[in-house]
Amino acid sequence: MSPAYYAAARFLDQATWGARQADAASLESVGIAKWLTTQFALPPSALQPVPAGYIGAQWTPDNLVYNALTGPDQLRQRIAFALSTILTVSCLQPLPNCSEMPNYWGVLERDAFANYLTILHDITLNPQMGEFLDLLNNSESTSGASPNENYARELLQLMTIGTVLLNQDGSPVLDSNGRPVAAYTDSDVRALARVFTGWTYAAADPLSSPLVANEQAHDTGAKTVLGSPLAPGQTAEQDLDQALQVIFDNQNVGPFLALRLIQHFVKSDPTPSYIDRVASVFANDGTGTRGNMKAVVAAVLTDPEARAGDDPALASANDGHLREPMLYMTAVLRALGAVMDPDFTQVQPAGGIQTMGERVDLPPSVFSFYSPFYSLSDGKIPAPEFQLLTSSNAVAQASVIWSLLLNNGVNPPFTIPMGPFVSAATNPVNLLATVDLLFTRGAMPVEMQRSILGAIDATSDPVQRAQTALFLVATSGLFRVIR
Amino acid sequence: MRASQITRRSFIRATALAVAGLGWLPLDRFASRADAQSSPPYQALVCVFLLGGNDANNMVVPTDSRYTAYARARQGLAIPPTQVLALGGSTPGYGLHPSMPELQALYDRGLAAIVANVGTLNAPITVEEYLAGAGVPLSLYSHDDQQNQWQSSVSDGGPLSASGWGGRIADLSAGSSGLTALSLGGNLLFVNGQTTRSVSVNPGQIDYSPGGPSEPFEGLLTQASQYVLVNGANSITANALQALRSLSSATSLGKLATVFPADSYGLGQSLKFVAEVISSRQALGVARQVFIVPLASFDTHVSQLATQAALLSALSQGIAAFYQATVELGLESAVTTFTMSEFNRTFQPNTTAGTDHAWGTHQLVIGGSVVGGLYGDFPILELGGPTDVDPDARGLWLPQFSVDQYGATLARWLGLQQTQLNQIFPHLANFAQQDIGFMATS
Repeated sequence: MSPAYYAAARFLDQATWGARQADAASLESVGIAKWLTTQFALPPSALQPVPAGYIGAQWTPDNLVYNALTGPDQLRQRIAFALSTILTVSCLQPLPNCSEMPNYWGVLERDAFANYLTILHDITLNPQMGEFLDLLNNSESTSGASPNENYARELLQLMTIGTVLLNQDGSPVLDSNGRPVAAYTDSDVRALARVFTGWTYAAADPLSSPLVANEQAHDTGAKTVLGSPLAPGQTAEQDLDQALQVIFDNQNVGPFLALRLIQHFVKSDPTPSYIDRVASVFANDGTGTRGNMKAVVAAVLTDPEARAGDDPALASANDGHLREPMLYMTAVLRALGAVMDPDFTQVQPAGGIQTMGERVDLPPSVFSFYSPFYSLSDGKIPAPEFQLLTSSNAVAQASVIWSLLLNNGVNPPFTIPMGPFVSAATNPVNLLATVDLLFTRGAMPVEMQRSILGAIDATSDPVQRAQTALFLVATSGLFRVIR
Repeated sequence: MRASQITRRSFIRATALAVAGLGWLPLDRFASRADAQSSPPYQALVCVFLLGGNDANNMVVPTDSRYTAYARARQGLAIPPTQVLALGGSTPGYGLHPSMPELQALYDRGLAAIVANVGTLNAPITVEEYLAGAGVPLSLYSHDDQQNQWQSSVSDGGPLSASGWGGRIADLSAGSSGLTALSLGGNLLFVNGQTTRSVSVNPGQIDYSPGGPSEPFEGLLTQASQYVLVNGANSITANALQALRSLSSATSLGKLATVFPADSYGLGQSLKFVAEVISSRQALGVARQVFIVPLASFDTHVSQLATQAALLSALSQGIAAFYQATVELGLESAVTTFTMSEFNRTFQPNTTAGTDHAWGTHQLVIGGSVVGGLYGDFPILELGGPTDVDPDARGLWLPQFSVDQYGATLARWLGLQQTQLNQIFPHLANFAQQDIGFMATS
């Protein structure tokens, strides 16, 4: 194994949709800092509107798979995916319709490197978010009815602050009885619900333009949000901007976001110091700016705790995180060198991911697919993505991967170039070394090597040998977990 | 039939108690003490979790003079009085949502109970104590926190909050096969015990073939890694193969005549799968099972009337079909179905024809061992009234029953002893009424 290659491949597993041999070699020569700078400059890969007559409704996940396999803007795409699990919109209700989802995802892709306050603003006024969490056409109290509280509550709980007051290292602030302190009260939710009144569709391109103010429906009374007074008589926009600023400035946002970004990119179980370091970059990027996403993501990926496991001998037992189905499938496809037909309007590339339990535009609720606090049944370490690993999904994952390898790798819209693997299969040790480099960074444990060699040797047919080797390594725990 | 089962259970329990003393009594220990030819009678709990917070205020509606106050507060959301399905039985003055004629029929036959105003509580509190912040459950209006608290029965973050009370009941069935606790709604806390490894299955997706060569695939799952998460993924997958293998072979035998509805939420199909698993109990080698089935989504912040009508229709038809299946299996007194939901909704509507998050709610219990009727005092349906904890008077009901009392009543029906109940429901001792009374036990 080459330590430099292992480290480069590991970084790419964390920061892209899956390490590829050529990308790792390139990263080895340019280094992480330059890689990041290049990524920050890349524009977003396009998300096309849903074509007329597209079969099924999952155009967005299909388009995201295509971009994951072909787009150079890997880091931007991964940040957008991370943001979709925090600022969640799902098309499971009548509104938003799934055909609208490219617009929502487009905002995440466009704003991935922007300031978090900008992201909050743009998502708050995104029409799909407005439809999903009811900011759209929410209005001030009438006699006997109060403003809808949905967006107000979920913005605080799931997108910015969380339920419990936090120190910068993510630990809960405790009162004199040793109990956690609430980060916000029901009064805050009610006041924020009144802030979020008086917004409606734009007249032109309503489903792809930010919501516009409808002052007649706006509650112009005085409000207090998180201890900050909002003066009476303000416009919808003034109230919204001021409220978002107050929320953004709350002490929780840094550690709240730090935990989730670390869990998404690096590991499920960060130390408090790691969270603290990233949260402090959120608070101040070094130039006095709060909420600089480029600086925060760079801090997540370059932190010593993120890079410690680049030497497997120095990795900690609690390292890494499970690849959720979207990450797992794209990583397998990228490692295999899969080519995807750019015209995939007839065959759904994300179908296999849905079989594994994750259709990324259709999470079951605003709580996305898993909680940051979900843990393995022994309760010892957080393991969010395991929430998706039901018995059915665990087995389905393997069978989907197997199906990719059949028919000489031709399974539209994907073509896996099986040729090199079949050629290597005439010498089992060569075949093993090839799959080791692609999937386990050249560091496959000896016991695992023996098992896979034994399985390869069980047949003399080179095609079956290639399928067997690829299947066993791609479905192994060591690949399913990014460590 | 029912009477003799009660008698036999009492006999078994009394004998085992005398011999084994108080404390944990695994189910197979009952078998060794019971009559020579009998094994413990099969029993199952089936939870239908109404995800999102069902507006129980429109599921159970007063039909007497209180209807006026109901209609005044609920405004455009009030169910018209001619549409409410009046209930018979010993507690007059209530009716069900118009979408629930099947539940109305079950109730009028004495096979369904309504448990009024139950919610998460650590101990009884008053409105004053609530307003002072004393002893209030953590994160009271948060979906995921309240879902977990209903499923764990722990509302103060204590150690048992990491497991579900259904799973802790399954823990007592030591020695049976791995299929005592089954979720059809993903990895839900309810069926995670402290020792029980729960199984979560997508109904219809019980194929146990990994596709490729299964022997080396399974062999790799046993290889220990330096990484905790790798070992976790491997062991979950190994257990998944075993569980799906058992389920596939057992349920291929369990075809039922009862027709289940094909609602768009998948509830009918989920309950059908539960019935098939129950019918395969001997092949699976289980004497007691706990199930949880989801129904989503009840989070009706907007346009509540149409959405809830469709959901409650699916619930009513699904439960009725499932009860019919238990009759087909001769198990109608051995299987109890019950609802849970993370909270009720604001009695006062919002400005988008919906409701927001609230607290004390009403649940349904169905089965041949249920003592039909409405249990507990209904909340006083006044905004800002004596049962409303909300300083803004939107109608958040202070619960009169806790999840502990609700769950313990069901667990007691399964034959658990008081000490076991106190261990599974750690705050149960804080409440005077240990048994709400809606289950027939000796």
